Amino acid sequence: MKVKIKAKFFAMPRDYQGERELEMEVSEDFQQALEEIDSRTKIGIKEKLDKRFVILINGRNYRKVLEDKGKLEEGDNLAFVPFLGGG
Amino acid sequence: MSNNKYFGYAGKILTVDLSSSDYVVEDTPFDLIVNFMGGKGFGAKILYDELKPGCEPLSEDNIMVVATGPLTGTLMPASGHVTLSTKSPLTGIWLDSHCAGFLGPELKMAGYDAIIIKGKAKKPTVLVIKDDGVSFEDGRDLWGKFTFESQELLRKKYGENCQFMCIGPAGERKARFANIVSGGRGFGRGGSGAVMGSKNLKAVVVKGTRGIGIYDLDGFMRMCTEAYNELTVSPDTGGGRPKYGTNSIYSFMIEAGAHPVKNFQTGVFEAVKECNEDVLDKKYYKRHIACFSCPINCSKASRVDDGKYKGKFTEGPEYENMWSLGAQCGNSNIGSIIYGEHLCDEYGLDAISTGNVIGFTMECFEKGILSEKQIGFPVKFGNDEAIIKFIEMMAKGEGVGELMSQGVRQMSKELGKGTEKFAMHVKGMEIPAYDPRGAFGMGLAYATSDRGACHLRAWTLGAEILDVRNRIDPFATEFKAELVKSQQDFYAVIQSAVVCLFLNFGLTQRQITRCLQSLTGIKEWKTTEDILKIGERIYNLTRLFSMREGISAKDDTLPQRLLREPTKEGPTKGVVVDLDTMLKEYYLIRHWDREGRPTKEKLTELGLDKYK
Ligand code: SF4
Repeated sequence: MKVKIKAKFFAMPRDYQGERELEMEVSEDFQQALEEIDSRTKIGIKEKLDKRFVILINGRNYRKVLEDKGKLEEGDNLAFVPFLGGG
Repeated sequence: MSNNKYFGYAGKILTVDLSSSDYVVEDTPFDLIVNFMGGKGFGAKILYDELKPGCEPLSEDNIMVVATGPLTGTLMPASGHVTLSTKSPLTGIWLDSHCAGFLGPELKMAGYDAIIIKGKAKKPTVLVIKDDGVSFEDGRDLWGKFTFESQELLRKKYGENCQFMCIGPAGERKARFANIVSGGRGFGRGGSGAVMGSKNLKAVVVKGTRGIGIYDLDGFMRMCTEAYNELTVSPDTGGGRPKYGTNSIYSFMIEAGAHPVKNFQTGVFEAVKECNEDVLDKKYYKRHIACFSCPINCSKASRVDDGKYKGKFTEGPEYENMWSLGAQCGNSNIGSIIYGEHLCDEYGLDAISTGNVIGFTMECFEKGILSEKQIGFPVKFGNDEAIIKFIEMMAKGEGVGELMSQGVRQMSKELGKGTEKFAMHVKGMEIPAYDPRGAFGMGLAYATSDRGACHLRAWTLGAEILDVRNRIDPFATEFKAELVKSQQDFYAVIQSAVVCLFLNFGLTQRQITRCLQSLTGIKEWKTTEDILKIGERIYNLTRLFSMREGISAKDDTLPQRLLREPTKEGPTKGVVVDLDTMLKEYYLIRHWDREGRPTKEKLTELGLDKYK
């Protein structure tokens, strides 16, 4: 099954990508979707996820969300946020 | 070279009495060093012992302790900070305030770990500290002048290489959240500028040429090199922060619903499309600025090139002020934020409190509690010109500005009509730029921060939202008490070793412990646990200080808006903070009783027996 999601890029991932957000159709299976997003963006998910940045699904840590609902759903927001501290 | 007994320290404390224009220089006691480290720790111990309980913060009885720490002014990265501790005229309780830049190292090179400022000068005075010399000079010609002009005149008179702390017109007229400015930086929050004004002390000039002894030179150099390397590879200190400054998190905080809008009425800020860190970077940031010995250079020089604020500039704007003069007031005009921040620096006003108060006033106007006649002009959310006018009115004490400059707690007391429900403060300190309804830990952090609502005593958002390993749910209460307590203790260490708190986003506790160990050789500071114990001791002592001034468990709370008023839209829709559950756990972990008082056993364990 394919679902429509919005990928949003923050700080450094936005610099790599060169845009703030992107609408995409991806597989509902999260791992599969990550590969699809990786091949269509410049942010380097394989190399940098959980090292330089994290993904929030609808504002919450992706691992936590996947524990709860298992897969992506139509209309999900995926935010790519670097590990940053406050100001 | 340094000629003192202790490595990492200047070895002397200078006590100044402004009433008699006298001073004494004494050795820094070793037990003060071992148990309280420096900076905030020195302030806590000295003020608890020497300040008369119940003293009026703006009377000559109040004391200011300006202190460096062992790491200040060394090759340790980001070691240019200095702390100031006093009793706050805004909150009436404990206040420690921290200033970036270059003043800390200069003070240490002048030979002092701390200066204790007492009394009140008969006329406006400039205190000049140059190596061994201390003098009290006439400051009448500077009284009334802006902070930047004052510093320029002082520089001409005392030399290019001096560092300063200086108040502006707001501090002189004792506005309750007046700041002290140093270069383009400041001692923010809580009104230390008003305390300085109440002492008739316009400025302090510092020049020092000595050095600092190092216990294990090779080891310390190795640790500093490692620290520099670590900082350059961290996504924060080597990525987002150097490029975007403290605004690196701006859009993300709005995405998470943690950036309060219109006095915390909502977490949705549509204007983020044109008002964000990317626009700041591309359009306004002109160059980077670093503090002493700092590779992060998070500070930015900004200028407005077009529009009605063309030509205005600031060192910033900081994330906090992008919020306080921005979303908090429903304002997305970046030019006005830059100008507003500059004005706050010139007058010497804390920009967080300033913006918080303006947002509160705008809500009062929109709700019909304050009328156009009372204010003098209409002040709907988003009115950038009103923000600028309010800053001037608060600084000068004009019209409604006089009441506003006393803070939201006092304002809501005088206005009544249920305004206390949306007066966004804790213990009298205005809440900064994070909405706890987007991350519950911040609610506990604000409620238990020792100086009133503050994001620099614990900043839980990273762990709650970004941390992959812990997977802490931002909207749950579990683990928040542990998180807040451990951050408070560790931040107290950083603020007593006196380095920039942002090191915490690039270095581990272990690395900082090893830096302290190789610098000082103090055998009681072997492990991270030893160091954290000092932080815990300090946090308990500042608690005792504020309890002596009358606070108790009932003050460890949040405004009703955060506890009972869910936001109606955005990622935090329907959420309120469950503070009680977190607070109970927090007291338990801290070994504080139900009244929030440290237990006798805890005080004994921390070596604070005498304060039982
Ligand atoms: S990180 Fe920023 S505030 Fe801290 S020392 Fe460096 S430049 Fe100064």
